[in-house]
Amino acid sequence: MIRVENLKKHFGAVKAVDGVSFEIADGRITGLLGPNGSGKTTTLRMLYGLLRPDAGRVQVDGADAIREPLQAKAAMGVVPDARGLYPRLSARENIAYYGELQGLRGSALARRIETLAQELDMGAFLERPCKGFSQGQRAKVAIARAFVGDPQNLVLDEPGNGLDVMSNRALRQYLREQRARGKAVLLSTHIMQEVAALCDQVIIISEGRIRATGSPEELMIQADADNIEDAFVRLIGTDEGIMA
Amino acid sequence: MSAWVVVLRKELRDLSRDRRTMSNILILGALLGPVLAMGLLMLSMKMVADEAEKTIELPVQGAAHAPVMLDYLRAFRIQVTDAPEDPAAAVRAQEAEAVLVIPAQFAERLRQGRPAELTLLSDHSRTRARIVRERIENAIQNYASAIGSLRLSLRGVDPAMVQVMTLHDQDLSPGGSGAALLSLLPYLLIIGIMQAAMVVAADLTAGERERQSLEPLMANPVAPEQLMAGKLVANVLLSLVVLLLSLAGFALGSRMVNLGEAGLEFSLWSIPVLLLLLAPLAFMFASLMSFVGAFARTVKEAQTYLSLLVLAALMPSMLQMVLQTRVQDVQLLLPVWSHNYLINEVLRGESLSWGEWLLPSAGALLAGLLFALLAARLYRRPGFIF
Repeated sequence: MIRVENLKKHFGAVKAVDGVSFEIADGRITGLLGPNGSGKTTTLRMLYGLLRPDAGRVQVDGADAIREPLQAKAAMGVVPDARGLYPRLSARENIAYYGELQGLRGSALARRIETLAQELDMGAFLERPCKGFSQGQRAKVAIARAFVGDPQNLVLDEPGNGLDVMSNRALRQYLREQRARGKAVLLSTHIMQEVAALCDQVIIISEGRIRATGSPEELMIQADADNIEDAFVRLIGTDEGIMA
Repeated sequence: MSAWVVVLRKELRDLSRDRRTMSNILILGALLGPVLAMGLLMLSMKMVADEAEKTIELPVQGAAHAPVMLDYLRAFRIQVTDAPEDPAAAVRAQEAEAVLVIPAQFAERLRQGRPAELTLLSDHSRTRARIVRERIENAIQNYASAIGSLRLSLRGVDPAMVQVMTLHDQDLSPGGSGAALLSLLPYLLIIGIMQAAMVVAADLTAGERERQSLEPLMANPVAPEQLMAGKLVANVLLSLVVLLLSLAGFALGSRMVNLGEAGLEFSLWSIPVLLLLLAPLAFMFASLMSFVGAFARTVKEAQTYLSLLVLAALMPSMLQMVLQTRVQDVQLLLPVWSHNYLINEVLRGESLSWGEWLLPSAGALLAGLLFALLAARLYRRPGFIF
């Protein structure tokens, strides 16, 4: 579970995140939905401790992300927007590196990689160097290495970016399985289908503030719209960013 | 196993698979240095030897005025040839290394017992011409004193009377005369270490950023200092491997080429000594390069910064090469400056005092620590990651 209270961050005069509070519950998939530049990535970076908030608190399974960054990070697997792999290392070695950094060793690590390889269907390219991987293969490795420590909280920044239909379906299937295992999943996105197909809970964010919270159905009722896209546009009060 | 060891192992594995980086630091850094140094040494030694032994062709203007002297020169392997039309122009154009000009009154003055003048034209700025010039001057000097001695003897004076003193020139450099060539070696060793540190540092921080792998890496539950330490140790280890290789290269090269005449005694014992002496320096370079390299967004940018840094850090070495001053007392604390001097001492077979061991190492370690701390602070800045 991740709890965020009154999070603020400004860059110069720009208030990127302006008093954001929410809770990411276990056993659910929560979507952070917002147009480009709405503060999604900044919020997530404060969650996983790479940006220091100007104000507010982040708690990951009870650990304060600022005062106890290592405990907070250990309870969280992160797939940032930047998903660079090490091209000269094989997929297995890339995953094992993160596994060791997350404290796994020896046969436990090997078993965990086998599990991930099955869950994410990586058998065909597990031993190949990552140079020349397709976007889908890259995304799978990035997800596997982030979650190799089997953390309780999974955070993904725009995971569907650049993925084809098949890869996207596989990704969604994987996240649903994690939900079934009781994990808390948070993903940021600006893709409506992703929200409709995947999320139990949606947080709509725009200009650094939360505009609405609820299940997709609740949001459609709240906005008096018959699809999530219209609901989104009405709730943020503009179509700016959607057409971009 | 600490996180930094995990990072170190990964970086070493990753770098060892990077053929371009490895060939860059191993071939350029470790092998080119020795090959270059040995080649230069061989060439200059051969040049000296050649010029000292080969028969000199000396164009002479007015050869008819001094046939006996020119005959005498032949014993010194100086072959007289016809003079070009414009001797000065011929020397300037390097068509002749030296031209001897004998004026018409030469024979006349010689007969009268007055100093007979003659002129040797050459270009003093050319090393090869200097050897030729010295041989010709020597031969003519010899002829002149032979005539002088005969004149004295004819008048019943012992020629030894006018030889007031004899100055013996005794060279005490350990191996012989060419020891000045030693000054190039520290420079090449230091540039080898820096080359390695630079390539590795550029790859380890800017490369990570360029590949977009820094942000996910920093999201792991590991203190940023551990990441930096692992990378730093990888850099130091690789620099030391390069140093070891280039020392081995020098040792091998100096055995194949026989540099005895150049005054270079590269004993195998000096390899561990130099490795130990230069290890703190390798640490300093690695930290310095990690710190500066961390400012760059791409590998190319990092390499630009770092090459400038290499040039700046080599200044003490270049200065030493020219000045060849003795480094002692407080100066021993100065990294590079003191190391350059001490490498030379080790290569000349001198043993180092405690102060010469401890002070340069302390200086380099302190500076290295300072840069490592600065780099570690950078790793904590958000601007470093994004």
